[in-house]
Amino acid sequence: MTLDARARAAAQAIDRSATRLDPVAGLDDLVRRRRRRPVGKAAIAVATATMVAVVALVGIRGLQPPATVTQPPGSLGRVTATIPVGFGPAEVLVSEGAVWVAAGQGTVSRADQGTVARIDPATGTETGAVGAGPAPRLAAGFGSIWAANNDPSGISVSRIDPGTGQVTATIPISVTAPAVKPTQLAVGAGSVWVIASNTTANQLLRIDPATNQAAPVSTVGEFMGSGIAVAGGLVWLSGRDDQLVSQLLRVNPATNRIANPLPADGDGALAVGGGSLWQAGVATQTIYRLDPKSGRKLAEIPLGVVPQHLSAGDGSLWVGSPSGRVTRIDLATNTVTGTFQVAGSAPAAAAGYGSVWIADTTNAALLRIQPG
Amino acid sequence: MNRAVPLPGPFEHFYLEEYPRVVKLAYALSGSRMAAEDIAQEAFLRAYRDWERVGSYAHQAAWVRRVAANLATSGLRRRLVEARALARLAARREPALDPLAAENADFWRAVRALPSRQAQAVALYYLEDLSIQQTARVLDCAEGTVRAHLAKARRTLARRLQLDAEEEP
Repeated sequence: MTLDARARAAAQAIDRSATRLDPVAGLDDLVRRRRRRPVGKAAIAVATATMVAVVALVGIRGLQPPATVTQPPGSLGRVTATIPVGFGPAEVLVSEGAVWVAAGQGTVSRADQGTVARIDPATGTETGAVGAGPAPRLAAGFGSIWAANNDPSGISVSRIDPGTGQVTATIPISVTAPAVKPTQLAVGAGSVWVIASNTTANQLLRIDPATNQAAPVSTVGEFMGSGIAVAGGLVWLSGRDDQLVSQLLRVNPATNRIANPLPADGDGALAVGGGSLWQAGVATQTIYRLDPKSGRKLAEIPLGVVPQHLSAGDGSLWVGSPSGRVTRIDLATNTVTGTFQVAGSAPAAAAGYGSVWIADTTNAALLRIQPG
Repeated sequence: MNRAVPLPGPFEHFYLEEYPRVVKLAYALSGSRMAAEDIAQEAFLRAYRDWERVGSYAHQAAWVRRVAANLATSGLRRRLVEARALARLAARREPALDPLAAENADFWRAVRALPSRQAQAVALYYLEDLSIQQTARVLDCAEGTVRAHLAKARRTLARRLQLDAEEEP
């Protein structure tokens, strides 16, 4: 018998031994077991972490009343509406006459039941919703709303008619391993651009809006694809190379060719606004303004919190953060002109129809803010 | 299950997706049905605590495997086994993993007797079916280093288990 054959048999035996393994029960155990550690130096550190986990896992909705929204100095304005949108609002998009909210991120029982809801900005009420995988991402273009569904059974992109709110096409996206990251979307240069992520690599694809067919463009690194945007006639990808060095990739949409990577200070989400490309610096907690053709840095704006989501609108860049802080940056002056704090996480924010719309995970709601 | 537990960012989705695989890796490297889940949970707890950073990149899977592999081959493993065994005794709970047949248990025992980096490389290569490049990424080392670890490990395992090491990775 060869070593390889014996090793593979032993690996399969490990696989077969885990049929009773229940990840959901493991999630509970993660909390429960930490509480049983004997008291000691290490136990105190673990207990502290456990308390954080307990609050996040069961306390936020189960043991505590809904957290209140606070307005620290420099607040963006006042809350004029709290619109229930379901668990885990993850994405907000203002386009095509409505506010679109993707929800379903970070839930157990609804792990396969993400939604894209249409909110009427005139009434602040939901006027329809379609199903999607967990943690969908949104983009607008070609008269449609596009939702990337990161479903464990397969990634797809839904094309939604903004008038009816109905899905008009579901476009399968082929990846070579189970996806663990939400796909990223951008619209421009005649296509819808998609990053499909799996455990070992990311793939860039483009969808032809005329045929609703997806075609692969290129495989990019495992750590590349935290952000995607179309600006200056190029498709930009943000992330890190295999040595975890921050960089930007530029794709020529005419040839699908990727130019040599550019070194970058940022490594996160991308957005386009005010004639510039904007990049989030997750590790640096800073926003970078870049030239959309060369990628040259034009300005940097320190935030002090991790920027997770960027969108441009109403003359500002809006930054959502897992810390719960939403930051407004003036596109003309590159300065922070307002902040708003929610109690939990604020993974996305967008402006339109005279309001700022914030995804509030703690309250499972979309907050409408009237700028003050 | 009818629970809806909100968690920050995509952590929960990541957890549910990766948890079984990380438990299996921990089982192979620790040899303990009891400690494997604890090690995996420790790794995920660390990911959770640092989720603002870890969750922002596309490398969570490699990151959590690296932590779990290091925990499983470190001295902490023994302490986890002891603590966990006591907890299970108190709770009268059986581990979710089944015991291995003698031949397979012998193989993993031989793997665990290797130097820790060699053992980790073998587990990732055979159990996770990772490529050399992917294994290098998890272990945070060069591909050549992984090849060297695997070559040494294979020679040692073949000798101890009296197997033919004809296939080279």
